Amino acid sequence: MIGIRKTFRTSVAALALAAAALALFAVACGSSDSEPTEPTSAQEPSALEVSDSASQDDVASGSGSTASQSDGDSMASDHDTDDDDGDSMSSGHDVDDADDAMASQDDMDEEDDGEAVTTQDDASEDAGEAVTTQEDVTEDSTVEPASVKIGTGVGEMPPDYYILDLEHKEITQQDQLATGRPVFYYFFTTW
Amino acid sequence: MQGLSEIYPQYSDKVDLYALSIDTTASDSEIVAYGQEHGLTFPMGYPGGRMVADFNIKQQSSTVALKPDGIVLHKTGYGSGGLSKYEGLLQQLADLADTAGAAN
Repeated sequence: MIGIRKTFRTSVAALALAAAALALFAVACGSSDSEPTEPTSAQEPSALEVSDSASQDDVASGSGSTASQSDGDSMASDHDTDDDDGDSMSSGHDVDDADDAMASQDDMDEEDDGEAVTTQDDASEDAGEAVTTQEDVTEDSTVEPASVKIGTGVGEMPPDYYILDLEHKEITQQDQLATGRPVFYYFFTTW
Repeated sequence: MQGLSEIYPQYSDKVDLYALSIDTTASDSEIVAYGQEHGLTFPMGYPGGRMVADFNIKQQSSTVALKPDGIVLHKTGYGSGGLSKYEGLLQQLADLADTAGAAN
């Protein structure tokens, strides 16, 4: 009977040890799953690739400041990965942050491109309006300055008038202005 | 007007000058004869439309000077200032023509 009890206790102890070993193994396995070194090193190049491609896109679209910023983020990720050899949890967050950063960067690139196009369109429209305005100003200036009063007093622009030569051919105000020369009119009678 | 005809040639390359008849009874031939008689050196003609009314011309020897941009520079009634006044005006107009030419 005593032998049976010893055998049972030994078996229980062995099972307990086995359970403890399994628990330790499970814990060890759980820790190794969240090990950041391999995933980080596996994703880090992709982050660089995205950043590089984003940089190329940005260079193509002319937003150089954004490309510099993404390069800076990639370098910070490298630095975090090196530091995370002893801290898997923080490394995991860094990887997630890097992914978020990548997604954010992509979003930013798309949004920036869209805004850039819209801005370009707006600029084109504005330029068109500016040209129209310039044309209007030019046309107006050929007729008369807007601030000049219509009248026959000194400093005023006379209303439309014309004279007749001895052949009764009209010489209009516009004809005279087209010459770009000043004119002196002398009114006389023959008596 | 004869004195004006004498000084105008030195400004004719920069200033236009027209003698406009407000004598409603004179024919074209009489106007031409008057010009030849006085040896006028500038073209003659007539004010058209409402020009006399708009410029308020009521007497002979009235004058109107317009700058190259058409703005009124000077307007006088009957022979105001005489020949020296005309010469000063023509010189001023010639200077404006030089300025406008340089700007263009």
